[in-house]
Amino acid sequence: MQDVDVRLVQVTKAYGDSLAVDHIDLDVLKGEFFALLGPSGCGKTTTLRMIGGFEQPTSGLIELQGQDVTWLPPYKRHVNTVFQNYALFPHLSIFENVAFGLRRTKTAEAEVRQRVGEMLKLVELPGFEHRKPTQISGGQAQRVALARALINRPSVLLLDEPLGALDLKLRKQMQVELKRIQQEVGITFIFVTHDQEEAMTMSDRIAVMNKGKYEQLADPASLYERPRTRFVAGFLGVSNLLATTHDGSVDGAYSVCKLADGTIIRVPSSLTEGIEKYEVGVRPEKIRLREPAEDVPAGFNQLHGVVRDASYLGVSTSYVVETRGGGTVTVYEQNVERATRAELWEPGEEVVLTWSPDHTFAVEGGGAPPPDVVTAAVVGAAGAAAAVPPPRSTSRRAFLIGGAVVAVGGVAAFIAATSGGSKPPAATPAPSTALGPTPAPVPTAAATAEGSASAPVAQTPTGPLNFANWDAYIDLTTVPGPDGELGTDDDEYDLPSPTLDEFAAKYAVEVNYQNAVDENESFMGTIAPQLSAGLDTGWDLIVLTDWMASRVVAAGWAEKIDHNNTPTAVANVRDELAGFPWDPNFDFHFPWQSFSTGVGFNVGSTQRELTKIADLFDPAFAGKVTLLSDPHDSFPLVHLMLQAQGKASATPAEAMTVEDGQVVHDFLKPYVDSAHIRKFTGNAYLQDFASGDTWAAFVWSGDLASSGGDDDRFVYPEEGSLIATDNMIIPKGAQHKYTAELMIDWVYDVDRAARIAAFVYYVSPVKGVAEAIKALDPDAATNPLLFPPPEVLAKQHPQPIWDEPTAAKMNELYADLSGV
Amino acid sequence: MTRHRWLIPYLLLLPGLLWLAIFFVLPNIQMFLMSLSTKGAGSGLTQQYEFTWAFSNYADALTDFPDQFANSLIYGGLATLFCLLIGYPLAYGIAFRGGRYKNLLLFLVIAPFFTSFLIRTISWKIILGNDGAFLSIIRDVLGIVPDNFSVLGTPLAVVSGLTYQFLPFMVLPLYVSLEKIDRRLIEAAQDLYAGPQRQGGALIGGIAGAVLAVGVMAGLSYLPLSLDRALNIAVVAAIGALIGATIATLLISESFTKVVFPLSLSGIFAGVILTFIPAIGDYVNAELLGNPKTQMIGNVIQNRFLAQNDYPTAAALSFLLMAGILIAIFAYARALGSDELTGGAG
Repeated sequence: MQDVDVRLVQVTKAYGDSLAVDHIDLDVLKGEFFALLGPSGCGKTTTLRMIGGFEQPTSGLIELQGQDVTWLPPYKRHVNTVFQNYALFPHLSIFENVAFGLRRTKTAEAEVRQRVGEMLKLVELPGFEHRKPTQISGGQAQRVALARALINRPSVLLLDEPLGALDLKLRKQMQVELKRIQQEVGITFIFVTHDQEEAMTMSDRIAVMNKGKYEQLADPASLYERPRTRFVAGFLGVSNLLATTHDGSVDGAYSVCKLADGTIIRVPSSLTEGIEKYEVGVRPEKIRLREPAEDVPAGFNQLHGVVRDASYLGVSTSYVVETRGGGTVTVYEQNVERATRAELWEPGEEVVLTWSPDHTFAVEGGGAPPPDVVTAAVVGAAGAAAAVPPPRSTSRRAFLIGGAVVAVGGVAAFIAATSGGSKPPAATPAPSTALGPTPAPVPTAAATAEGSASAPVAQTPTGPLNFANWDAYIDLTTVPGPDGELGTDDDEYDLPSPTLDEFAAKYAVEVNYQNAVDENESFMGTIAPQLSAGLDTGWDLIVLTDWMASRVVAAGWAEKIDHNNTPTAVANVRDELAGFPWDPNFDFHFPWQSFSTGVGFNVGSTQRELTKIADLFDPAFAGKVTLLSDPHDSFPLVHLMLQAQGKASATPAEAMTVEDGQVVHDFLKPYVDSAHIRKFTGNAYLQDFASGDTWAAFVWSGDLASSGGDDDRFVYPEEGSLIATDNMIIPKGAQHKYTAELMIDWVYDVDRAARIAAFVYYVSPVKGVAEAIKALDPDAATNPLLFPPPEVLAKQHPQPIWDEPTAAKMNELYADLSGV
Repeated sequence: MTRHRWLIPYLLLLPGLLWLAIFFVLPNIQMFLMSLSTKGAGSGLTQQYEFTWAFSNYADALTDFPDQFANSLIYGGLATLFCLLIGYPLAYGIAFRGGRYKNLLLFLVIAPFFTSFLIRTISWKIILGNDGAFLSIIRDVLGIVPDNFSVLGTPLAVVSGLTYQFLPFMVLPLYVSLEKIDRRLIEAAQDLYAGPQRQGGALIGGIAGAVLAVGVMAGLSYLPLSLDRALNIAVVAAIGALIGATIATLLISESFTKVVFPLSLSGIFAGVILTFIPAIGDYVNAELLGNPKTQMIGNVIQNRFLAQNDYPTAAALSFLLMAGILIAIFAYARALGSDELTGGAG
């Protein structure tokens, strides 16, 4: 007995319920060229992959040269594979591809060179060492794949459809080549293919597989001449199968059977042994067509029929003959005796089909013949056609995703490249998109001038009124929103404000109110370029603190307010708010609310009441302190503290100089460097108090009262506090100036002003609010935030309004502290 | 019509080129001119600038903000590194093990993009905050940090935010490059005896882990690289080495190091560029999650533009940043070798 290289014992592979490989037993002999042949889905590739170790069998045993390898990973099996489409490593040269296995087994460099050289010579590719797989042809790639596998001198070489990707001519050439190489190296080859011709050309033995089993295992000639199943008969070449009945009678070495019309067919008895029911078959080229009158050699099988179709193929002619019983039989006749077209059998001619009984084979029949075939059936080699691999469809999706990535990346690169750089500078008027919420056409200068000049002319409010204000700075309804929460969303006004809603209803205009202002400077930074270029900012009404408001008015960027449209505001604005030098008569602004800047803290975090600015610098609060990002707030407060400690000049806070600022800076710097001061921020401290990230901070008076946090406290510090006013301004070029004036007038109504004040907890600029609040909210009427007591007022300083050079210097000092 | 067929490709290019010309080239030219300008008439809000070939703006910008430039480089670099360390296994898992959930998983990767950038950053503020999930675990549950330990307002917070924001930019190109790797190449490698990583792999993994750990801790300002902290550095390096060696031994096979990794280099290249560029120029994360000492160059640009009206400095900084990025990418492309990249794609 010969050595067995590969042995499969009852190997089964199941995917879910379906069996890809169904209890296969197989012995592949040493040095054999063995083919697994079958249509796609027959389990041949799965069988090969189990031998290679890429799949584990569901049950059964796999042995390589007597060793059980069933559960060994591929890299521990001395088996190598030539993959379909070769699977060459695209990033490695041909040399490195071939050397891959040797390198993994730590072969010495000199030996690697020598063996790669030999291998490339064997596959006739010397000189290709330095090319990449993309630079060679399909046939060359095939040889490289072969060399890459063979160089490891495996016990068994597995080849998975190795020639499938080549064109016909190259395939024929490679078939011969493969056979030569196999004989040269003497290694066992197991070869998977759907191409019966390929299998027949090269293999010593072929297992024809169907539905997870092999139907017949034999050498190519036996398979062709004596197929044992319908499937094999049909898959290898073309067969004529004839349904017969047989009563067990024998004529010499032949069994005798009958067609439906009584014709007798002889078939070698050896082929029918052990088969209960069978069909007989004959290959088309074994049949000879004769005239009905011609003599037939004794003992030959014969059928009478009529030629129905003739196809001239050059080497041979293919006829379809309808037999007397009604079925059709295919016949190939070499074009020898009848060499020209004129001499061929013509459709309609009566013929006799004859063939030797030795050329007759029997296949296991599955019971009664199919009803539509009475006497004969032709099974074509349809399997091969069906086995064409389906086109790969994954590449397109990968391409689409890739495209999306490129798009995202492109946008990202564009944004990164232009961030901070795409805004038109103030100096050069340039067309630009308005940065406000609703970019709108720019009103002509003439229209604007007309609007402000001819006041009493009846005007109609237009909308939407674009109103930019600070966070939590207007009355909101006390009815919880859909989320069950009271209060404001961070970005947008999304809960109804009675004051705004009533305005919208009264004048039938939409109000687009947004919490767009976080800091005076950064908000102005977003609209200054438009204003300096004479363009509409997109806003009709903005709220800015004194010092910034004064600059905007000085720059001529505020519309003159027509007092004919604001009679309530003119009448109700508190007297002490008038007379500021930058706009003494409210020509360009009306106050919105006044606020104090002092110390806020979360008593749950600090565990004690704070009373002084100096308390912020308690080492216990290290890392938990924030200051306001506007130097107009933070610097004077620290200045007040340093004054109280005798470390600063006696200059009043509202008049502090650059030198005073420097002192403040020098005091704060170590606290920033040691991270005692965590951050400079706008009113983000509201969330930070809640989360415990900030314990104490400089804050604006009303914020903590309206924050809703039970532990949040505001104190007017002992050293003193600041007071400033936020003001409504109509930016130059505003589209809905008249509506904005109506809004100014609207909020100066005493009752509405009281309602707003009771909600925001700031000091209202409207006369008579104190009395109105008593009716509305008795607690609020005594609240020191709304009505600062005299001892607080005595220590309160107006927020400074620095001139430009001073402000610039202060900004530089601040920038150094805040890290920008 | 047929006579002018050659025109069609150019006509198709036209909208894109116009877009670039109007919204990219022109503003950039203007910004460049601005970067060479000095203060003219007016002051404050009405400040005018005059073009004066003021190259000193660049020198000043470079010398005035060394810390912020360093922060940008370190944080952008660390965020890119973390994106790679997190994104590679993620992309690998989706590409190789995603099965029919691939599209769902990819969707989840980009899902955060459906909310605004700001909201995402603020949500990190909550996660890293004093009563957020992160500190709850490491401080309250595990107790490995002191009670007053803070993440918010540290470089760690900024880098975390950047990593989170730009992770999809890393994952998607990595996924594409991994997805298109033919699975048979891995089988071929295993077939050719590529097994688990051997000792050499553990050594390399250990060294890489040590360098990474020390680099990360230093970059996040937790570990100054000075001689008197040699013991701490050694401990960090040892822990990093241990982790690196373990990962290399347990997870990384030869079929990965010799086939998958080299073939995904094009994805790494694209991912690193797409992550690093926006990360280095970002200012929102430093603004919301950082402290005054963690400000990046983007914060300076934002402040100069919006708060201080100092357009020339801001413009000069923008161009310096742009130039820096271009130089870095050029050097990076040269170092990685464009040859390898195109070869890997074929």
